[in-house]
Amino acid sequence: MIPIQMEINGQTIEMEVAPDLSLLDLLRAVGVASVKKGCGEGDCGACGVLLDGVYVKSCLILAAQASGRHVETVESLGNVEHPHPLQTAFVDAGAVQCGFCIPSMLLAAKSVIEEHPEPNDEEIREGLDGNLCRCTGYVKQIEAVKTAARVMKEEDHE
Amino acid sequence: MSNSFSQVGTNVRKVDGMALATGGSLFVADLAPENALCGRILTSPHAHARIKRIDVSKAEALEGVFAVLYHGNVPRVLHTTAGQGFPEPSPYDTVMFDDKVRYVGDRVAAVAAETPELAEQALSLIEVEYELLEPVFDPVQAIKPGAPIIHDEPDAHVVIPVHYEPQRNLAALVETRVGDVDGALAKCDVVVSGTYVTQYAQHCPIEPHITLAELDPYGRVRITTSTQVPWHVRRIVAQCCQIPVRRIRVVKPRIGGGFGAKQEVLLEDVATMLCLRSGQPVLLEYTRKDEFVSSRTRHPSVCTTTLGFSKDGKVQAIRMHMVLNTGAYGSHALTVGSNCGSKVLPMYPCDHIEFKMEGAYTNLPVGGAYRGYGATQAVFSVECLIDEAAAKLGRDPLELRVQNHIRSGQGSPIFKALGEGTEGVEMTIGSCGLPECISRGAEAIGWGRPRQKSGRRARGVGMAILMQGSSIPYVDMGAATLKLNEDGSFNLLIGATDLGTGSDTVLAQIAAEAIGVDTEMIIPLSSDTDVTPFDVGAYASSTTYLSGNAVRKAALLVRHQILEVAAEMQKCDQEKLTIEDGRILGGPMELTCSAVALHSLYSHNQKQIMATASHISEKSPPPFAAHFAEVEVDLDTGFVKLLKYVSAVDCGTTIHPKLAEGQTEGATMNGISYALTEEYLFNEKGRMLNPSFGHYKIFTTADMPEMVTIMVPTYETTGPYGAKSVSEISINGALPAISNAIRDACGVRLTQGPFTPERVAKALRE
Amino acid sequence: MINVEKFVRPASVEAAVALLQAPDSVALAGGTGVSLSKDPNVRTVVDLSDLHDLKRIEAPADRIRLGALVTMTQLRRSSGLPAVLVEAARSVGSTPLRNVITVGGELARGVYWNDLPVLLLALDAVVELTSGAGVERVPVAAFLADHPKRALAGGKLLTAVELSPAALPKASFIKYARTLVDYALCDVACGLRVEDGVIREARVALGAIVPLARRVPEAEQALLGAVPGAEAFERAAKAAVAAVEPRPDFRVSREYQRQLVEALVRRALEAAVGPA
Repeated sequence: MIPIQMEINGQTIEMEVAPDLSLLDLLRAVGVASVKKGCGEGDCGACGVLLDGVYVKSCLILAAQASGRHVETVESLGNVEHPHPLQTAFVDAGAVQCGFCIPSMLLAAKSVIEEHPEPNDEEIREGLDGNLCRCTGYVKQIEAVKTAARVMKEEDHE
Repeated sequence: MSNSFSQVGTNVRKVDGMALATGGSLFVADLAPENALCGRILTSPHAHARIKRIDVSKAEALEGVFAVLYHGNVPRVLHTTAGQGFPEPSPYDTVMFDDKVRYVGDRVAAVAAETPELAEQALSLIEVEYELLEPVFDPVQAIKPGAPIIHDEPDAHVVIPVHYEPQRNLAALVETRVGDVDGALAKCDVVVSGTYVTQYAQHCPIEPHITLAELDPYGRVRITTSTQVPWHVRRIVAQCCQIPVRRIRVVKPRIGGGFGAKQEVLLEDVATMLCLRSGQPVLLEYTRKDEFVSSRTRHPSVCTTTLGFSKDGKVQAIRMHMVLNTGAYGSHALTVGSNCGSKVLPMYPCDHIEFKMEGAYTNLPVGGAYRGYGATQAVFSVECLIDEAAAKLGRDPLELRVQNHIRSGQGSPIFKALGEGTEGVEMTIGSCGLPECISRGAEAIGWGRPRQKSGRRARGVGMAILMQGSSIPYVDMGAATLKLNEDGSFNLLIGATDLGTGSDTVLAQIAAEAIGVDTEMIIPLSSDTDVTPFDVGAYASSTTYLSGNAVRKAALLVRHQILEVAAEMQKCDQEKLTIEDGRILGGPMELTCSAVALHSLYSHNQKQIMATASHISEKSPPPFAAHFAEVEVDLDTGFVKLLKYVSAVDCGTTIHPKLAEGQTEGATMNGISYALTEEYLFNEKGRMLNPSFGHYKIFTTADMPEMVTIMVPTYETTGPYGAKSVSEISINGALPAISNAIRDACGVRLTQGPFTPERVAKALRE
Repeated sequence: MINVEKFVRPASVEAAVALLQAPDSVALAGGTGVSLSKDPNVRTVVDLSDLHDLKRIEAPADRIRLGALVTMTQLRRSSGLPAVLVEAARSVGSTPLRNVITVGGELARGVYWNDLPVLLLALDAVVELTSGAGVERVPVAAFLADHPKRALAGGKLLTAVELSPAALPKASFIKYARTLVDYALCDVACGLRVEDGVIREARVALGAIVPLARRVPEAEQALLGAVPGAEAFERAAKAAVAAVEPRPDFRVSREYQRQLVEALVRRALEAAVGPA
């Protein structure tokens, strides 16, 4: 068993884990339900998290590898009372159908906007290319990222 | 008909949208208790074999294993896994565990253990000795004499009077005939014919199948499951586990997509049995590999179609011979096969039609319900052959379609001839926006503009026109209950199943519109067999059209009750009163629904204002669509790049425009990767070689073409507020439209999906 | 991974190299190859993520030095790198994978679908290996020729990759796959030096269609001394087809693989010299 410690959405956890435990399984075991297991083998992107601010697939990261780091999931973006502009934009654009891929995609979108505050279609498509969605055809999700970027830019200026 | 609705036709906030976007614990995996056992299923490594010996004792003895199931310790109950109305049109050819396996991935045994690792270990301790049997993989060969018999058990049977010949691997047969096709073809000036092959595909819901089965303190089983068909689950689990329906409650929480894969009872019976045997909650889920191999697929097909035309371009005769590969079990074979005819043949009305469909058993993964449901397979040949005919006639393929397609007021003998196991229902087309779909779509793609060849790249455009249906008339039923609360809000209890489509929202809009309140005042609760009234579930594109009408009826009943009380409160004539935005207008007092609620709950003549209504539909009005694709073919590698795709759709009124577009865009994207990249690759022993997203390719944002969505409004008088269905139709266009576009670009006609670069390159060489 | 007993994060290259002496240890960079591994022989995981010195890109004047832990995303975002290198980095995986896949990982993994090594071969890159005995510099072709696992045996750590793009200024890279996020069906890279209208130096490298990325000397020979143009490129392409035995790939037939090699080698050469 490997001792690990990490910060998850601002809360520190300390525990011992099996060496082959993935960050995905760890997160779900400690109650972070937003991180989803769609394939468990690095292909679908439903398990994405921000690890020290970098968007990664948590099923491909060992829990031990993430020790000493910060993990952010969609719970830290916003909640129902105070949603993040990305969450509002996705919902209002009709970009959320079954919602299974959405928590991860929102984090990918956040990364895109951090790198490109006024992202174009090409930049958004590249940034979301690790997120499979079977419901939406991606059209409204791309629109939502553009809308959110605009709102976030305005908020920055306030 | 102008739409002056207040709730219908607006993009209200999806009721579950923000909860999903903020990561709420909403899916089955999120709801499992800490102490839930982990269920796992042992599957067959062989395509066709008898289980000579199976010894589960070592698995049972493993510490931490609480239940092991196999054919020797579960009741042998023949049933179908298909989620369909009872009695089902699919053969009863499946048992929970059998002493025979019929495809690689078939069930052999199941365990429930404390951890996933222990469950895996337990599976490895189950000893199985197989007697290998000769498999058959080709559906055309499978129904010929001499093929190995897959269902040689004496007790497989059908429960409605349909053709079933398992002794020659024939799971289903449908034949219908109108007029004299041979005679008509002989007189035709142009006859085109071809054999078109569609391939296996998987729905790829991002959430695989998953079920939680728990015993409550009263000894009832609560099944929380990712399903499209809660009531069929309840009935079939009762059947398989031999417990009464009243002991079972099925709840569908938020689910991560279905697309038809979850119109099936695949895990719930096993999970329930494991739960009953162990006495503990059991969480049973498919891995992604299981999802590809052991769940359900799109039936592959081999279809030979002939179209005959007179020289003026009029379609005179159609013959279609469809062979469907149903895989190792016959679920949905008859009905998918029937829809091959019923959703495609009526598009071009003529007096001479012949349709024959054979559903063949093979030792391969099992076909089931998949968005499009037969129309996907059949429309490929017809829409490609229209282009072939246009070429021979020297006509624009768009104009040829415009000349021939069905219109409002027309019918087709096919509607009555082809039902779903029972007789069909005669129908005349009501709303039909197809002409506008065609013209607006053509403009958006730039139809008629010449596309160039540039170096080693050639561009072309192609189109396809589509129809589907809205519910299964006289077969399917949906019901809804509404009850009024103190603050003027309403609980809307609906059986209808939201698989992410947004039906909770759409049905709330319909209720709100009918009563006269804001959609926010409607609280939908769906798909709980103890609490919500019956609904067949989400399939056959029925939720908006069928369940929506039930909701509307219940809403009008509740509205009537409210006005009745309001009239009594004001001592005025009920006829004068209306409800608008929650306020009762037309009487002497200023009343609201809330005031009426408080009065009726607490003050006088107390009662709960509440109503339930059911609905069955009398017709299945088709949505229509015209799809257009622009491709660029790389003549050196055969790679087909999709540049632009236009989907123009008539679904009547769009109750929620963005959700209707969303259905269109999602279905279209799925159809596109089905046409270009999705396929099952098998080795010579029937094992799937690519059961992962790594090698089963679906489009990502990086692959997207420019997508244009055009919703063409019409008004279907039989639908709630003019609505028809929208969810399936757009998956069917890409295969023919892209084949047509490739033909336009470089002259090759691809008749087998997917249009991989290798296939295109081979065709270019020939 | 099931038998791993220790998970260590060394603070220095020296410490890492000492740990990697143990034959039952494995280096963890991005992790995409390690985390799903079922190898029962691994007992120690050496997590390299604290070796920040290896995360630098240095590109003064003519010589580019990429630390072994430089990710594909870092390459993608870096200004001042040759476009062809950025393009190759872009072709790897998807965004979350590019965020963790490293230069060192792409070279050390040794599987058919590693895309970056194909370009590095065509650019005559040099691999820096650090061990207890010191630092060696090995041409990428030699590093790959045997197999990366053997080249790294005995506790060697890949610490950097160096290249001089000016040496082979006409370079191109093509990744061909079924979709844009996919294991390659065929990678082609080439690097040419043209002087006085004649090809003086040529490198042609293939990946994915062979078990491990490699150069194709027969194609290179066909180009030396030739005038860059359709005739020479076709000869080189045909030479590549004749010289290379495609690995069995369940996705495509051998015949198509050969067609791809011919078409893509020709196309890569055309792209390298640019429009006429």
